[in-house]
Amino acid sequence: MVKEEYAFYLGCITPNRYPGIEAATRKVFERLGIKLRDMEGASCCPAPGVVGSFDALTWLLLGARNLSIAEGMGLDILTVCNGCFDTLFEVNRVLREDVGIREKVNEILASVGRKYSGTIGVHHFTEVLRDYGLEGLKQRIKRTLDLRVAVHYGCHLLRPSEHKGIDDPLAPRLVDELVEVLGCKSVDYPSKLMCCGAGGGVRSAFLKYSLEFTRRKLKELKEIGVDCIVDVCSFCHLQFDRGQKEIENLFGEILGIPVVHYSQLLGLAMGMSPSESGMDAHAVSCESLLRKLGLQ
Amino acid sequence: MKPKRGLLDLFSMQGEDPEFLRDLKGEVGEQEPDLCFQCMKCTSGCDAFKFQPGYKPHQLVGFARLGLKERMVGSEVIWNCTTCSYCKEVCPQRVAPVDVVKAARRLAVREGRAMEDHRKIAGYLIKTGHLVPINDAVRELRRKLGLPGDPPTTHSFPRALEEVGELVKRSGFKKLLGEGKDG
Repeated sequence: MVKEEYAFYLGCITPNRYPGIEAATRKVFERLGIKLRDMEGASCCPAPGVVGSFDALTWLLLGARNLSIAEGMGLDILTVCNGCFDTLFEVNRVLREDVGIREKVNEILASVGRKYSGTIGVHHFTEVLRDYGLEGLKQRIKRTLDLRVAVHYGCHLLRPSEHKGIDDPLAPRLVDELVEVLGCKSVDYPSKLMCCGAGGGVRSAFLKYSLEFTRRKLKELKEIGVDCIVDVCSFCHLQFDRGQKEIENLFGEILGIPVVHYSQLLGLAMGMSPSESGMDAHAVSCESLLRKLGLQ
Repeated sequence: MKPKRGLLDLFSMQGEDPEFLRDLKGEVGEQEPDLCFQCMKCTSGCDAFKFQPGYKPHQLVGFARLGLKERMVGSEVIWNCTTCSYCKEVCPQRVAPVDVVKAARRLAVREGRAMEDHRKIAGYLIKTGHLVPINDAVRELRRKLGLPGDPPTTHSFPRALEEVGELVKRSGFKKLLGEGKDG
């Protein structure tokens, strides 16, 4: 069931590196008649594979603090990044299921005047869009996007599926359906479900190794020929977009594949200009894609 | 509890640390290393293994099961996992290798074995509330997009940042990973 309003959880990379994703999301949901409210004073989720690999209590505490902000607003959370989704979803689950941990977390949260109660849900924006309905989305579309796109799901949207249950974790259709409804052709490629390479603190610690993942995926796409790669996670987005510049520097390869977050793609289809969603500020130029759409 | 002996003993001359398995299992997560029968389904589909052949989740689970602590917390190899959770998805025994690895990482961090690059980003979290904080170029882009220069996060609310500071102090995170030792 789609709600009328959500608490819009921004995280780090969306507002602090790719604000175009934030702008696109705000506008797209406004046009769909769904209100997004700011979560004032929210922090990093904190990142599941990074802070979750450093210290579990810190991961739970900061996650619970963010959840408590949305609880105070009485709204479910909406995220546009798989990492944020994973942390907030998992912290919410762990604290609901484990009374002992919840008590420990609440004891410390009380020192800053906060409390986790477990009263709200956490949703990825693609899940909300699916529940809104593909037909409903189709009616809002002003521009059919006749593009060949490669969908990248990212890891933490679907896995672990036992708890998330959003789609088949090894053969998903959710995002493919969302791009197809805009008129795009979603092409199949061997590494479709492969990780972007950024997570788990790997990007910070071993950049070149992390880019091997990115490079494998993008090289396949270059061979197959696509107009862009479509992601649903700001961290994957950063890895593909900035990563291509880093691949140029470290491997001497120019791949030139535009990187588009689904919120931006949907924005274009709903009639937004590319600059309204910051598509002119990406590391890899989106010009080829926009020219094909007659937008440049 | 003494860990059961297995084939992997033959591969290592290092001693066992029975407490290691207990500590791993005490960490938050769904890790059940003792259920592993080394089918290698995790490693055969692991993206990290494709690019770093030294990273084999089934082998790490084997080390954990045997209490071979140094092979995990003393090795940089555990930091190669991108936490994609494919292994957790396909494991027929519900071992959750990714959770085993994350638990081992936390034990390593607790022993002061965090990597320098990770200390650096942990420092951003402590100082700003964000692992990836804002900068002037992005502030300008935000304004161009019709958004406030600073997002409505800890970047705009000093009181919120104080809360985060208090929590990372109380959790021990600041002391463990922060640059200042005053936490």
